[in-house]
Amino acid sequence: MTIEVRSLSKRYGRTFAVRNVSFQVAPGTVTGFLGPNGAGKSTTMRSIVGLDRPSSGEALIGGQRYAQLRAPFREVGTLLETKSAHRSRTAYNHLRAVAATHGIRRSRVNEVIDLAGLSSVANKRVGGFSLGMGQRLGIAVALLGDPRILILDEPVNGLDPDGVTWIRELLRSLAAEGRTVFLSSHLLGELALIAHHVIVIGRGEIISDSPMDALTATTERVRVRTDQVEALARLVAGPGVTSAVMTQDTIEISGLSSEQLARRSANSGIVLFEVVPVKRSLEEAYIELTRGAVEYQASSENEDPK
Amino acid sequence: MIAALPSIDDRAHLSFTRVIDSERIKFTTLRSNPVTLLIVFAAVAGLGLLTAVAAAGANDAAHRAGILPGDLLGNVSWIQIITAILGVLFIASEYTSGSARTTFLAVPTRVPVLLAKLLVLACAVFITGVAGAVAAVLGGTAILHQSSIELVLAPPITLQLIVGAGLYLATTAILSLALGAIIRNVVGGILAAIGLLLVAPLLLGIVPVDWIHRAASFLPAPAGQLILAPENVGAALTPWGGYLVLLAWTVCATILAAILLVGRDV
Repeated sequence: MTIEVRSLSKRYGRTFAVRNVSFQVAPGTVTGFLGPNGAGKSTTMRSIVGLDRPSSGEALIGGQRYAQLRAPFREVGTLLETKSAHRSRTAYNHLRAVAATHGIRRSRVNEVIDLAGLSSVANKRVGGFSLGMGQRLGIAVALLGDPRILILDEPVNGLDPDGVTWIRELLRSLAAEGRTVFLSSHLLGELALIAHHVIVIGRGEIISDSPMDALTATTERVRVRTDQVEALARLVAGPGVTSAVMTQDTIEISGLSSEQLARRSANSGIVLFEVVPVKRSLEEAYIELTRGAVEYQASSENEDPK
Repeated sequence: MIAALPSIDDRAHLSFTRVIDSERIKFTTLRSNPVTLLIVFAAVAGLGLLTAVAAAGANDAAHRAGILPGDLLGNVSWIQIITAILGVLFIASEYTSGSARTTFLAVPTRVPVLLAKLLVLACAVFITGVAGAVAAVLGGTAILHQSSIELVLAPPITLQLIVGAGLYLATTAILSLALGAIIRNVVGGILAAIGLLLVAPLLLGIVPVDWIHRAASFLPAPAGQLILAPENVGAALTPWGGYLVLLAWTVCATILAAILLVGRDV
């Protein structure tokens, strides 16, 4: 089951929340969806599951629109926002009402209650739930139909460390079972551990759509430890090469491969203790990509308020 | 652990009867709904009986002789506010609480949800209204009979009053459900329902222009209430004609609600 978004646009008045967005989420992969606040992540996800009506373009799930699916909950499980249940209803009754639409049996309701760790509060009213409990209830709803695709918008938002660990383990096991997971998250470190593919959106347009490996691929940057930092800096200085002294005995050099660097320093008699190619973190890659696409950029301190 | 799930199979899919079942569960799992229905029953029955008791205890012969069968259900025009609020809440609270998102993720075609809510609400209110009216009309005539006041109630009229009370309350509740679906806000929906059912007839009634008076009798509440006043021969509409006018309002509001429901973002 592929998620396919084709030239999707969503306009509110004159402003585009999402503009001509196209991408695919391959079956059985974990795809991260990144972007600054207001970049259009939620709008895109809501359009895929039919809650938002696109101004143009479409989103298809296995070739069909979400609304055409005979059993939407068996195909796609969705977690959108924490507040998606009536305050005065118990968690159990909320799940029971949702399950009834698909004729999903009570035994499955009890299963997802256990799975989401809600057993002790299943008969309590949702209004009294903490943010974390509300999120668990949302996950329970998403898993109700044992779906092949999971669409999760900020699943770790507002969770305490225990909750974050729980979500991480859950996502790993869901991905390990071969389910397609499409999730947005601000926790890039978490995402870097599980995502195969990353789509970056900024100001309503796709900025990058590439495998995680390509995004975090080795940069032309080498970290070197030596007791002759200054001599090395002088040696490699030249067009296309920059160096930055990090500490007393480490220096980062970009523009030369580690092999070239080691050879040249050997010729000059500079002893290197360590030569390490620096890998770009997802966070660095993300910040580079979204620079300039941040919708609500913090204004400069010296800016005149008038 | 999650993968092997014998409890989910191909039989799990959407159907309209299942959406009705879901809405029935939603309706019955909020304690306020059955409590409200109980209050409606008690009010229809209790106020009808009180009207009979008051007439039976009256001293002047004119008052005693002046009571009409429809008077026993005269309070329905006020009680309708309770069932109207019930109708608005049934759908507007989905938006206020955020549960609408879950509801329309489960039923992405959306319109079946509106129709299922309509059926569940209509059944619940109709049964409650009929039960209250049975108690009010039969109990009321019995009380009056003991005081030697005989209400002439032909069986068709009795049936019209009893069924009419259920139909009137159920139909105005559906009209309110549609208003709640259009406005998608609890407070706004309740104000709109009270405005249309209660305030508009009063306001148009005090305007001293003849055609406006006549137009006011085609508002949903005054028209629909004719069914509860079979002796009101001076009206511009027949009792069932009046009910049809109310029904027309309700159908139009429901169609508008369905069109908006399909087109809007949740």
